[in-house]
Amino acid sequence: MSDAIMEIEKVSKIYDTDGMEVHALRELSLGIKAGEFTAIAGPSGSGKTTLLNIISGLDTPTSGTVTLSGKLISEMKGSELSDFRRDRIGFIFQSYNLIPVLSVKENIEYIMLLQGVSEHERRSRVTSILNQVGLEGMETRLPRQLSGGQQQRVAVARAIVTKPDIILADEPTANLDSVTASTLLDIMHELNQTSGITFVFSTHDSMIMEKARRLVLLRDGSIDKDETRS
Amino acid sequence: MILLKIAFRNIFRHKRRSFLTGMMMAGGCALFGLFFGMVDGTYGNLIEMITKNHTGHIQLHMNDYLDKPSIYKTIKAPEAIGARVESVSHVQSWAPRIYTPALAFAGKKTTGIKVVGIDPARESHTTRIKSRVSKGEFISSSEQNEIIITHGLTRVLKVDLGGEIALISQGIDGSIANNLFTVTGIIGNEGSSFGESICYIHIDAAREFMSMESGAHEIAIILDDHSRTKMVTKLLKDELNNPEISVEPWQVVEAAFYRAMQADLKGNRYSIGVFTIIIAVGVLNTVLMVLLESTREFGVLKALGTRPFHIFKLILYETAFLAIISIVVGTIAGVAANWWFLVHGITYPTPIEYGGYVFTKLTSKITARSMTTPALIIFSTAVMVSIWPAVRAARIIPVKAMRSG
Repeated sequence: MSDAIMEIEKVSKIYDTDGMEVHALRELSLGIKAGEFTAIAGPSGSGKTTLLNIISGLDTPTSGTVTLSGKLISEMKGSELSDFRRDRIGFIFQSYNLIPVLSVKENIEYIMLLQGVSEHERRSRVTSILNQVGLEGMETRLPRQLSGGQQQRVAVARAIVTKPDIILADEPTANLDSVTASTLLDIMHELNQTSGITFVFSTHDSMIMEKARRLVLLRDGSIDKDETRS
Repeated sequence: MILLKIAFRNIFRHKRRSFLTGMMMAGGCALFGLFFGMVDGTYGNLIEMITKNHTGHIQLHMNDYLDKPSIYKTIKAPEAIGARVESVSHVQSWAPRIYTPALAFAGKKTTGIKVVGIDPARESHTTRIKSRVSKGEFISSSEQNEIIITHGLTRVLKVDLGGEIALISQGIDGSIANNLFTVTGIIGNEGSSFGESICYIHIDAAREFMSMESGAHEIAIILDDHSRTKMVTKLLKDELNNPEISVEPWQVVEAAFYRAMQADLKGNRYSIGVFTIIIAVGVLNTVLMVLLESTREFGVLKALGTRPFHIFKLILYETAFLAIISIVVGTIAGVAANWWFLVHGITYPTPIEYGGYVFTKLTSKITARSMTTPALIIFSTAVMVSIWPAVRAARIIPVKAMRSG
């Protein structure tokens, strides 16, 4: 039996675009172990975002299965899938996607509120996470009052505060300048090192590729290269 | 709680859109309120006029009297029944009446008329007959051969104050009833066509005229509020518990007027329906716009693990909050408009006369209905039209939604 927390088995995704079939993924298989800091890279159209969407349950594969922590995501639907994403997966998006009408604190608390975490526990986790991502004193600010880098740190805090099994980050540094991107990457790397949180990135960013302990290169929907660094 | 917070703040995030939609809902609420206030004011005045001029809010008769009036169908011991009527809550006053058809003669003129025998003291507390006497005096409390006629009757019989009218009818014992009366008062205005064939005499004079020892054909009852008529009718039925006496609300006594009023109100429902549809389309348009503009956000919320039902609730909460704020504003505006029309009214180009009363203004009324019904219509319409967009939002596929916008 594999020790991977995530198992992707022969996943294919075919899009029908104007009557033409586009193979975004071709029988792709991949295992992600707990605590990995993995970058999925590749040229545009290689299937990185599609793979991330499928393994997060945001999209469904045409064939194949995705299992996270022993649960078959690819067959979940509706509220079951929503609850699974809420409890097991953390998301970091390229364009931050914070809830614009909620403050920093409320954005971080949002998923915990859906989970029904007690107020005391929420407060304690928010204080701790704000320290970890360097946003102390900014609890009451709204997303529009923050810089891009600060917004992405809030997104990181929101993703990790619920202690999910895996964090999926889709091009998290694409909208940031290199200094901010480097700082943010350091934060995520440290969280991985100290807390053992599993990160999977879809990226073009060479900084992430360099920092990743495992690099999966995709080409035309298949794995071209899969290397683990010590 | 977090969903309520997001929904509430979203209203202020899209200020322009919320303002326009809110204005439409508030305007609709205010106009509905004014509409109901005007309807209640108009019909309230008409009902007050009809009931307080003569009919009363409730009437007592012997069974079948209204369908087949007869001088022989008399309520025995009206004073004793009146005392029991008075004991029922919300009853303000009551007055016994006697009716008989008669031939009226004045000089060489003659006409058929309805003679109404009234108790002047009780009648003046129950109806407005006394205040409608425009010329001369109301019937005095002692039994005298005084008669009050309408302006219409003065024209027909060519008689005026101080003139004499001879009445001929049939007594209750089968004898020929006849007596001479002196005109002491005239009801209504000159030129009025009201009541060309009605006159009033003292109830004791009427009893003597008809050879009746006691009894009455009708007891008219006035309540402290006409809206309690149906409830008090039931209380009176229970109190009297007499199978020979029918207790009829004004809606039965004035059935023709009531049917006409109901038909008019039914017609109003179509106007309300059309107006509601206009508001509903406006709200639907806004909610669909919200859905379109916020598709990406809903996709993100779902990606983060928000359940479809929570997205559904989020849309409904947002609409409900906007509707509540609009209703508060609209209700205040509606009450203010109704107050203005209550105080100032709309003057008719030409006065309208009905039942001897002249209406010069269309006035409004501030009622519970003019405040609650518009609020309910606006709120339920707003929430109902939001259901379909909310279902659509709940079914959004996150990956597609996040690609939009």
